[in-house]
Amino acid sequence: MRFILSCLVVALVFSNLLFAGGFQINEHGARATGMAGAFATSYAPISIFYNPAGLTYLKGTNFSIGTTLIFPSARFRGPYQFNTTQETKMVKQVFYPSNLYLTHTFESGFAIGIGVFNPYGLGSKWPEDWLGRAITVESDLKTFYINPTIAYKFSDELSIGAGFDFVYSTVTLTRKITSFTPEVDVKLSGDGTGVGFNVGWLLKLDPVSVGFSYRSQVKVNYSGTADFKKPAALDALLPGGNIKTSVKMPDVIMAGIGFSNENVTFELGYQFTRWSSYDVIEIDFETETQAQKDQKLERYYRDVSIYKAGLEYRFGNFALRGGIAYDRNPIDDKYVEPSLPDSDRWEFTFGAGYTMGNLTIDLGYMFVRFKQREVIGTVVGFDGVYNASAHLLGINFSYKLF
Amino acid sequence: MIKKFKFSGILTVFFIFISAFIFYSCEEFSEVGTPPSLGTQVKFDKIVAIGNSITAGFQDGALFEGAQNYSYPNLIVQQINKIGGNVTFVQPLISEPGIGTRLRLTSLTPVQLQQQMVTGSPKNSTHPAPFNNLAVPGAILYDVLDTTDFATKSVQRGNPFFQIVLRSKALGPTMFHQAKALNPTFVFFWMGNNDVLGYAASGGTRGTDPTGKLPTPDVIFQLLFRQAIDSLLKINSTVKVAVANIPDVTVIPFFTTIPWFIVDPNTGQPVKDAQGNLIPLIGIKGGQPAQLGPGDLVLLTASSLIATGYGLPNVPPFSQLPNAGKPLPNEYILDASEVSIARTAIQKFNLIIDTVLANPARAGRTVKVDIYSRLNEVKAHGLEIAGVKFTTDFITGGLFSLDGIHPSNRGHGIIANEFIKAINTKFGSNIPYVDVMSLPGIQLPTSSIAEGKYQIPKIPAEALKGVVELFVSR
Repeated sequence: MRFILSCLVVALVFSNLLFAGGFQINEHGARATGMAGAFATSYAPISIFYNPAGLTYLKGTNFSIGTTLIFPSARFRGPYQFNTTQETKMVKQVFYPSNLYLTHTFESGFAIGIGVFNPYGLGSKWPEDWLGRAITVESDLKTFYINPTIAYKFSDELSIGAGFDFVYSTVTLTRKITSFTPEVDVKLSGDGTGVGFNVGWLLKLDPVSVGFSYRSQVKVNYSGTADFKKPAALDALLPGGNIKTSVKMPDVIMAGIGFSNENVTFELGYQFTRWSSYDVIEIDFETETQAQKDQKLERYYRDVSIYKAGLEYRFGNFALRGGIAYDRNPIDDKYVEPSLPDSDRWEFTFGAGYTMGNLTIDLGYMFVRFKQREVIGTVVGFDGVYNASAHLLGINFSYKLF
Repeated sequence: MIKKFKFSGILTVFFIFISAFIFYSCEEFSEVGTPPSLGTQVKFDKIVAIGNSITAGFQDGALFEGAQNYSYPNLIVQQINKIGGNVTFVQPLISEPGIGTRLRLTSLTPVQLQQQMVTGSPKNSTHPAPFNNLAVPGAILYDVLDTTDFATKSVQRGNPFFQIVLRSKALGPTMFHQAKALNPTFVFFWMGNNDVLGYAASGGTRGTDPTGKLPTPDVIFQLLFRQAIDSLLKINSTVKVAVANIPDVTVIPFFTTIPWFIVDPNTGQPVKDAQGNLIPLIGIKGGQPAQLGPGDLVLLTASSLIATGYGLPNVPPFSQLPNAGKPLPNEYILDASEVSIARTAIQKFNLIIDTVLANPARAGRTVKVDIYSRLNEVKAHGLEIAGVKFTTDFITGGLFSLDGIHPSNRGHGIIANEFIKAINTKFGSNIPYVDVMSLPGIQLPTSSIAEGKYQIPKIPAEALKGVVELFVSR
């Protein structure tokens, strides 16, 4: 088992991730993806992410592995600072936040499990020579959560779950300093760890269920380096060297009310992400000079809500799913910048599952339609219009071990 | 209840999902902004610029082709041509390395400039018509309409540019007459800076008034300015004029880079006395040696004098410098009362510009470009464009060229955008702005560069003299 996990650690660490409501990603299981993430009252191995209390309703040992392929596209028209609506397209990339779950449910009502997933991530890349290159060229943030979990069923109606989050994260940010000719390439990169926890409860009063889960804030302390590709003339001004920063991954509440019978599950879900923890990012340079000073990046995100509805219909070995969600973005107009061109979005999902003996394959598709967003008065001096959309395709293989 | 779910009901729900999906599945995308347009109120066919060294594209202490190409009027014309204008804008190009005292950055730690007297030559002196860019470095407002023989003027003032720009009497005796000969449809006009900079850049020792000691008197400025604008508007019945006003001296790094107190040249940090107080420089104020204070401005030209001991008290450790104990001469200091004279003149000039342009007889065909307010804003808050912060700091601020007075390439880009914004607003055109970041930034030397907050630039004593002479020689 340890071997499998360590292999996965490598695979996940090197996968890229994408923005989704700030830089949150909510697709950590194809079955839930098909239901627009309204999964607080359902139970499956992926419940470790959505609501750990759900583990108690499983039987025996379950294993699930999956990934979500994300195909985003975005474009910017502007900047208005140059009275232009010239269009720049974001460089096409594919991201694949992945997940792995292993659970065991005992007859006694106890259940244990471990989950590995990437709930926060950001990936954006603009052309090297584009107008906003002094703000960002490429941004890449990955988080990698290892989440051992325990759950207990008090009665057929009520169960609770709790877990521990160990978080590893990497970040790379590149941009250009355009004040000089030739321009200077800036690369800040680092990695770090943090810890947190999650809890959840599930109340099943057939046909109605109520679920609630909470995942704590995780402060990740990064250390890394600043590299400047520059002419020798700037050696003294921009020596580079070690940097430190920390980012607080926000806490999240997921709640849902579900209605289900033998064939159908319908859930109305609500998610609250306390993005206000993402306020000021302080970058601390070990070596300070006039040009290379400690930096405070103002972000001041707002807390946001996601409203979602998901439906699953099961017949025989098949399941069909659909969902819809409305996801608010946490960024005020003045702080919007092209490394994270966020806006409110509608999410539409479809999914299907098929079970053959012990193996279940789930597919989930999501289309994310970002509202066109015009921002004026940005602090980085880059006003204009962002358009974006994304296709997500999730797949999970789940196996009932015994 | 729930058991009554029917398969058809499920299908209905799926149908709703699918319809919603199809309805919404296209990416939201609508046209934004106004399409670029030259509008119909202005014909941009024939453009003329009248001004001084700024409009000419003078940079780094010299006039040279590599800088003239980025002069704000030339940048504006390029933007007009990008959206279908077909404007020819001929400038009196000077071959590299240019004419003047050309400065080059040799180090950033500390800021070190190298000077070179350069004598490039005019490249298109045989152009058969007047130049479209008629800006003459060193010209004051009076020169726009002054019919004194410009060849003589060039000799008298030691300023070759009158002759280089105006060339031949056959083309017209003044900037105005040559402009008129081109029968322009649009004029950029930026004059009056030197009517106060002559005073300020000489540390209040010389000037452009009849006594030669003070800025141009405002009554004369009013007369000349009104006459210049009216003359331009009379060239034809449709010509439009964009007029820039005069920036404050305290936004110009030439006046603000060297602080009034002593700075350690090695660390760039203030030197403090035993009590932890700043130690003021000593200079001639009101004819007497005196300690400088926060209201006094030390000119950039003083840097090399301070390095030899001028302005420093004759006590250890300064006494090892040969000139320690000698006050900074008057012409290197714009003391607080002189600053006040310069700023008063600027405010009066700008008020005159406002009043003259606002007159209903002129208002319809003129537009003010408020460089004064814009630079004050930049001074106060910086100017953030596409992730780059411009400030009014010397060199690193990005707005000013190496001489600390004239705009850099990007400074010209920002000025061009202010003109375009004013023109668009007034005359219903929609010319896109210059992509400031596409213009060359600070040209880096190949050696190493240092730092320090008050790091005093090491500028050869004579390096900026040419620039100062440009403003004060009469």
